[in-house]
This record gives sequence, C-alpha cells and structure tokens, in this order.
Amino acid sequence: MIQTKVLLFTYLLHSLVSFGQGSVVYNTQPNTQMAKVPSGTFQSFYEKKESGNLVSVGEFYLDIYPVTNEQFLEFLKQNPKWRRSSVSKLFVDTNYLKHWKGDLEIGTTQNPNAPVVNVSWFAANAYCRWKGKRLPTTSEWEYAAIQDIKSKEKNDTTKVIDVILSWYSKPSMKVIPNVGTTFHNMFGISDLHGLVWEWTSDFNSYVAGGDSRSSDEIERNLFCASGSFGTVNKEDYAAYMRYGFRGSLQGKYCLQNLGFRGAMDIK
Amino acid sequence: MQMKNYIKLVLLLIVLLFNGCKNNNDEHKECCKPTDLSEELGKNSDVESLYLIEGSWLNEEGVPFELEGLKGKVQVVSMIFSHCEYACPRLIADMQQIEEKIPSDKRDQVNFLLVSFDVERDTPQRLKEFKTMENLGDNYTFLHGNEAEVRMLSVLLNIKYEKQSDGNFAHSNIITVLDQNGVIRNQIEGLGADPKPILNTISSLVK
Repeated sequence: MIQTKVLLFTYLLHSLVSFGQGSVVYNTQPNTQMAKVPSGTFQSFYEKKESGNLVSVGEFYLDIYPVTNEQFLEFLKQNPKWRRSSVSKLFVDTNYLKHWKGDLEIGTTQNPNAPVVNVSWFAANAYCRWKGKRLPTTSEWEYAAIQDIKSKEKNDTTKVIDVILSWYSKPSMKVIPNVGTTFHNMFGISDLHGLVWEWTSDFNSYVAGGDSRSSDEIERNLFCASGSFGTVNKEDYAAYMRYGFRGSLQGKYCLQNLGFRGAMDIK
Repeated sequence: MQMKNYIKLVLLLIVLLFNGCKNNNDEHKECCKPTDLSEELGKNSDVESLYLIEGSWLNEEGVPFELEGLKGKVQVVSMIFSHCEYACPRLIADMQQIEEKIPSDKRDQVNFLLVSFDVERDTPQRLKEFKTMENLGDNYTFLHGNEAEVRMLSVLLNIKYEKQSDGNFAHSNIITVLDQNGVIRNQIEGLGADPKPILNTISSLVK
C-alpha cells in the first residue's frame, strides 16, 4: 500500500513535468559560480507554532546553476567508483545515468550543459563533497526557491509561484534544455524552477508523511513533534508538490527529472 | 490554454486528495499492525553491505568506531535520541523484547545497535549515561556521529527524521536486521510492532 501510494504520487508528479517532446535550446557555457544567499526567514510549509510558522536560514552560498552533464562527467573521470558500470548498488538504482550513452559518454541526444539527472542522493552527495561543497538543506533550497524574479528591463517583479505553475502545466520537453535558460531570481540564482527538481541534503526529513504514524488525534499527540502536522498556506499547491515529491523519494532513486546543485557554508 | 492548465491542476489535486483519504483509512486499520518489509526487500536482489559507508563514529565509550567492526554478528539496528520521552524508550523496549525472545544459546551472535540523531547533545558520555539508565548490557552499542554521517545512515535505513526548534527530533520508528555482513535483511516499522518477522530473520541468520 505504501509503495502503491508512493508510486502513484511519484508517477503523477513525473508525468506532469516529464519530458515528452519539444525543441532544444542551446546556450553558451555558463560559469560555475555561486551566489551568496543572505540570511532571512520564510513562511514554513508545515505549521510550526512555536516559531510563529517561520523558518530561519543563515547565509550560505548556492550554485547559480544546477550541476550539468558535463560537470558530472568530469567527476566520473576522476572518481571511477561512481561510474555506471562500477557504482555500488547500495547507492543507486538501475536508472543511474541511464540517459547517457556510456560510462564516460553523455551521448549526442543530451545537452552537455543541461542539468544532470538520473542521479541518486548518494551520487549527488559524493559530487558535492568532491567539489568541497554539500547539498543545500531543504530549508535553504526552499528559501532560495521562493524568491521572486526581478526583470532587468522593466521595473517589475514576477511572482515565482506563477512561473512554477506555468512550468507544471507546460507541455513537456524531450530533451532537458541547458542550464541558465529559465530565469535568475532576486538572489541571482537560476533554474530553481523550470528544468528539473533538485535533491536536498535532508530530503527525508518530512516525518509526518511517514507511514508509521496513525492519523488518530490522541495517538498523534503521543509522538514526538506532533506539531509538524498541518500546513500553513493551504493554497500553495506548488509547495505541496515539492514536499510531497521529496517525501516519496529514497536515497538510491535515480529519476529522469531530478538533479541537484551544490551549496557551501560561509566561513 | 490557461483554463486547460487549471483543469489539469485541479484534476491532479482531486486525485491526490482522493488518494490521501484512502490512505488515511488504511492507516487506521494498520495503526497497530507492524509492517513486514521482508517481501519488499526480498525483491531487491542488489543487496550490499551498509558498512561500505565511511564515517568517523564514536561509541559510548568515546572510542573511534568503524562500522566494519560490526561484521560477524547479526545486528538489530535503530536510531534514537536520548532526550526522547516517548517513542525512543518504547523502541528500545521493543528491541529488548526481541532480545528476550532469541534463544539464550544464540544471543551472543546478535548485537543491538543504537545510533543517535542528536549529534549535539548525545555525546558519547551522555550516551553512556543513557545506556546505564536504560540498564542495557554489553550487547548494546551506541554510536555518535556527525550530521552528514547520521543523515546518510538514516537514508540507507529509510528512516526519516527532522530536528525541531526545541532541539528534539521527529522521526520514524524502524527496527532493522542486518546480517553478519551488514546487508539489510528485514525491517519492521511502528512502535510495539510484532517482532515475529524480525525474530524469524534472526533465527535464519544465526547458527
């Protein structure tokens, strides 16, 4: 039952944003800089009464773009144990880099500068460590991802929620476009929405969705942290989808629309 | 076009809601029933040792501990934090219940491993005090690790957890059996879960 639910949910999300057909957009090679994300707070997705429904995030660096096929290839060249043919099955499922032509060959059907997908949480972690980085926490990622978009040409702001919903409902693309082809948000970070979903370091932190707990009110109060039930803004469908999606993942899953980007502490 | 998009979204939400309700009912039914995951795990032929992951663990004596050192014995594993008032003591009680039901001449082949979520407060000293307080014997090992290591282990064991603003942790309650090589052989989820599946797995692994 648990599996069926997860599969159905995962399938639904994937079918919404999967890549059916469309055109390839080519772009110049973006640099691999990071942007500084200032400290701040944002409205929690789950009710956290003790903190007034606010989540605080300290300042950190975040990659401006998701990690690309080409960048991941470089990692594999230097780290043979993460190649498709030699990686431990503890860390990836059978879909690991399945869209690539070979162990060290992206193939001609994929854009080298598109976000790498079909990578597990373990592989994403290993890549980040190799770069001296780490995956962003869910709070960090969400905080960066809810920032609106400021237009350079006109003096106006686009609500990020509109961008997300239009992505979810767009006809899907057969080949994932290059990074940098969506938009930069207020923090100067690109492609948080519009290309792929992204791993976070603590993607497995949403406990309320776990199947071990009864939905019974009394029983619920007996558990640690019963306050994490319930959501704050019940109209933020996009957030529902992101949190639901993360809750359906396991560390070794490799999915065709799930990539990642690196983060770093500010010392 | 716009309209179509909204219809699509609304349809999706309806399906999700429907699915959610259905699941709630199931949860009611299953609230006191353990989930035996052995069948699911059995389907997964790509089994490898958990001891592959690197780490700088300390045991409750403050001694550096390699997961490799767990090899040779069947391990009954769970993740807890010592300030937990409700779930963790019950989880440990469940483990003790498993221990009691292992035939006494086989008990030396089984070790019990408890890894803490609480990397800040659960120092080795604190874990040692907790172990004494819970009256647990030498066949129980406590581990303290750093945040990244604990997170990685939780992902491998399919345990979800989140630190709360009061310093406590919300977490799923899962007991896992690892064979002598560190490969996951069975898991039960839920407090007070029927230990039978776990005991069957253990008895198939000990000599």
